[in-house]
Amino acid sequence: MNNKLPCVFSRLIGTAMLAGLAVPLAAGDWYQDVTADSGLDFRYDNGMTGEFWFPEIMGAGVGLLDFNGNGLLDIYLVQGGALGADTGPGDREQGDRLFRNDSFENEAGDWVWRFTDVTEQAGIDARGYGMGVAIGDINGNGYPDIYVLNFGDNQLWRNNGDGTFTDITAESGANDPRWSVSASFVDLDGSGHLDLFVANYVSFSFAGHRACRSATTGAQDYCSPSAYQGIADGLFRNLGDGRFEEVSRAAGISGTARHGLGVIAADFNGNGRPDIYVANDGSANSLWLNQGDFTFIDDAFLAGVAVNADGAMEAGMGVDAADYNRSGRDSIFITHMRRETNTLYRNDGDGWFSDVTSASGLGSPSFPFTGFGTAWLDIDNDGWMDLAVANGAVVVEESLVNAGDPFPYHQINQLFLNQGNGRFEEVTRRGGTAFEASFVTRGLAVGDLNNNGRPDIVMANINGPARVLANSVDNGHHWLGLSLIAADGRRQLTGAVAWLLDGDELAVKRRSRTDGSYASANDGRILFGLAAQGEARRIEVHWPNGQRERFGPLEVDQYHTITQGSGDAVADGD
Amino acid sequence: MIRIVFPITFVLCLLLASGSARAGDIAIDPVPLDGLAEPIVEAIRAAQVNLEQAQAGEQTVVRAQAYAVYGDVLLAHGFSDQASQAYQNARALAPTVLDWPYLLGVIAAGEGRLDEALGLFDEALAIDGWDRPSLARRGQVQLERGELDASERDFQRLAQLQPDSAVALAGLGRVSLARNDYEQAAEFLEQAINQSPSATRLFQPLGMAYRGMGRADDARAALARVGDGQPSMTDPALDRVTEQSRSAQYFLEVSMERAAAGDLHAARQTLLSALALEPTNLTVLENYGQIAARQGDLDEARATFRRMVQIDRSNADYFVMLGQVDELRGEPSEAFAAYQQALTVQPGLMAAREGLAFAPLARGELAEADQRFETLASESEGDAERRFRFWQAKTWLAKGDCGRGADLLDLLSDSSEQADPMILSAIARIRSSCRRSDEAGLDEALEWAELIYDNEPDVESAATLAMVHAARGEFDDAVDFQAQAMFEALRDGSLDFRADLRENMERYQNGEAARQPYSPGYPPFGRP
Repeated sequence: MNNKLPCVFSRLIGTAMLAGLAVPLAAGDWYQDVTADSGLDFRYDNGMTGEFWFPEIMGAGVGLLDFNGNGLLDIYLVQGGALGADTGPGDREQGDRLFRNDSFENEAGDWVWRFTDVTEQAGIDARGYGMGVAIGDINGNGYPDIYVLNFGDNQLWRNNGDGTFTDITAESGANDPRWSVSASFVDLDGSGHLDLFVANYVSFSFAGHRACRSATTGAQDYCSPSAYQGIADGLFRNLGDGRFEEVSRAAGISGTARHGLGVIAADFNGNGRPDIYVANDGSANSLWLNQGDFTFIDDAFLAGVAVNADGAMEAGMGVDAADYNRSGRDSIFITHMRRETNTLYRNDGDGWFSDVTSASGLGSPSFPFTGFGTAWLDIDNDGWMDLAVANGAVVVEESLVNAGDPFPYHQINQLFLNQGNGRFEEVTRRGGTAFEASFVTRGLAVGDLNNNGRPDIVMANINGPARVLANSVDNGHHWLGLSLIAADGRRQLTGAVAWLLDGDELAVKRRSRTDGSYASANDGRILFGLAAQGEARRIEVHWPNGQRERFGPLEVDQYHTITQGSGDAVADGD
Repeated sequence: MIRIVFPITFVLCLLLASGSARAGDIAIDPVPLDGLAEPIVEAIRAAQVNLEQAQAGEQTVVRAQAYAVYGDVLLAHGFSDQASQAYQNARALAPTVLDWPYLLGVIAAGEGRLDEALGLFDEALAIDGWDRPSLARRGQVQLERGELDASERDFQRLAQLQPDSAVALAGLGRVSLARNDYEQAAEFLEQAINQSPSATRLFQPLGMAYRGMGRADDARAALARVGDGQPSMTDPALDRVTEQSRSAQYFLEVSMERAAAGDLHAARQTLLSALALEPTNLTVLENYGQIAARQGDLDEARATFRRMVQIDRSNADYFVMLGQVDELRGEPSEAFAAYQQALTVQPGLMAAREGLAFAPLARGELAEADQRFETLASESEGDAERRFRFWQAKTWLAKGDCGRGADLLDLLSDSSEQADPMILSAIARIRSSCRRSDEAGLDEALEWAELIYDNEPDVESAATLAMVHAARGEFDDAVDFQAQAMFEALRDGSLDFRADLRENMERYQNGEAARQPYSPGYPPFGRP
């Protein structure tokens, strides 16, 4: 499959050039790689030197944000670069890049993909050895800010609202100097301000680097995380004035040192408060239950989400949560290493979960792959949440070694379609040529980059190009898009939950969030797939402060800005 | 030398591989040997030559066996595609031999190809319907496919053949759990753990069964014991494959699994296999030294760590390990020197600085230890500071300043957001020895000690519980738990170094409580 890659790319590029501007859609393919000729020219360089430094194999992520408020999602890509004991951040020539989405519809009605590198004019100079990115409006000015996670000091970039950013890491107090990979912006105390949870990985130093080898062949390879000491995650409380207070210890999380990679916040036990789930690599996962006083208790074991049904501590990488079975509860999907399955923990209520991986059909197809980024998304807008999984090995793939591959870690990415009965079908082939290509993918972010109501995917690859995969499903299904905004009319309310109503019944639940996946940040808007139902729909929103309101009927096939306080209040008990 | 030999070998093997298949046989893909360790290359080449020779003859059985051996060697080194091809040829030549479809099934299951694996285990069981490994694996595959009745039948048959099989009992427990029959699941899983106490992964499904039964406390207790040990069973075909491995790393990882399952003896033996292949492999040496130390074979551990610092004098961690084992050997001066050497290599290395505090503690140079812990604590914050204060308190206890040590420990306990077993254990010991508490204080100490012991029954927790019982005048219980502590010490090989255990045992047998919370005779007071 890998051998086809250059041909496919050559053909795509050639066709696009002949067409002049718009990239033609391959008939029937659900996704189209529209990167070529779009201006999104980015390649993550892990700086590998043959030393097999552990960080080389773990980056990097991608973030989606509408930084200039023009209604189109822009792309932030994290960069790696030279790595070694004598290499400081300033020694790296390349840094992270911000690409403005300048795409447009041409006169023929075709969507023309255009991205412009605006890093310098935005004032961003981020040259740490990048791992991940988190997006959130920390000061409520209506413009999303950027938190960059590095192997080393992290950075917080405040969006000035005029197309530029300012590095406020020092004065904000939000730096975590340890090796961080993913983070979640979430309002943990209902204050209206986004707090910050940072998943930290291992204590790695170049002096403490270990030489590891393949168990079967004895050849040198990257270490497993067990070679290094896991470290505690970090929690930063937003003080509401642009500053954060590091409260990890007071919150009760500093005593748990594990190998954190992915993080997702949601109300997992249905008590109205957001909890935090951390995917740990080779150690038990953590479920930090929010006690309501800014303290947290890890109850992952009793909840049934610490280890899989066999009791195995798996290599947790990426994670996402959604109501995939219309139970009204957010279940957890987590990606793992080859020869482990990815795992689906179904939320059975009251904060208890069951490992339903085998029964869901998600187990076997994931066995040959090492999953990283992942996201729930409704690929075909049928109203059921599907799955996208980004893969890429962390130890050499023997078949690629056989083929003489210089970086023998790449794998295909995958799509799984929700059958609506608790089972999933692998539909990677339906993804088309965009999913035939094989990469060492890490970051995966989902968002509607062309506002057509269909979720697109952006992927970041180690030593490979960042890719924009446009959703090309053409099944006539309707959709409803929501941007949930605070009463001040500016802030997107991450953590708010929208329900699609069926009559007066709560029917389908979606949560506004930017976190989840691996080292990445998603579109914070909500998309409801409506299948063939084209009539206007009513919704009910559960705001982070507990307020509930109903809105609508709302016309379908468009985005609506839903402002807190402007709907019909729902009384308790209704 | 190696860089030149490998490419030549590679070409030779390509030729051998392409020339070894006869008409009708499945061609075996070439095996890339570039970059492989020399013992692995030799093993693969030898199997190829053996196959080539067998192919020259006409004996079907011999050809099948040669393919099988080649498959074993390839599978042992991760070349599962080529191993599958070899086993398929063996199966075609000798279709009545169970091992080939069985191993093909193991490979398929390991790659997540469950449909294929099921067919292959069906084939194996058609050859021998009572083959235990095949029954166990087919039962597992069926369980993963959600075919609960079929899975149950295989595990039941396995249980009939071997009633004490932890694999069968665990399988039956998992089937019951999948049916939400929590009571039945708990019963099977409890039996499985009784049969195989090191199979600590089973505490997860057991915890889920208890949770389903509404026994939340029991569930938490079970889940707190989840580890990485799995129930195992004799598997001759797979053992034969394992024996073919010539990868030191493979033996290292097997050793780690065995150590995680609590079988340190087997883990150490496996590391010796790794060292036979690669005598200077520092990772293997490190693990070998650590296991030797855990078993109490401190001379061997020290010799191992000395060898490591001879091989690589630029790694400060190795000097720290040497220092730690010297501490355990009761040679704090040598430990001190090793830590100083570590700091020369890597200035500021915290483990070495800590060692420079622990070494004087062990030497009885308590003023210096006190000062060093004070420095470390004042430079630290959070959990690190608490840890150093804890050891400072222990230093004061060693000085005989029981009151000051007790006060600091109480302060640490009061300021702790979560109960810390180490601190509570120390306070329980103080209340039971040098600063005897009243009845209420001893009741509380007993509650802590029992909780800590229940959570992690080991030498220290048993000795603490014995000490509290003795202070309460419950000398029969004290003797029982002290015996338990001594048994645990015997089991982990440390009893010879634990004069304190014997001394206190004598006291309890004579109806006397302990005099001091920690014996200076075991430096440095049970430091983990």
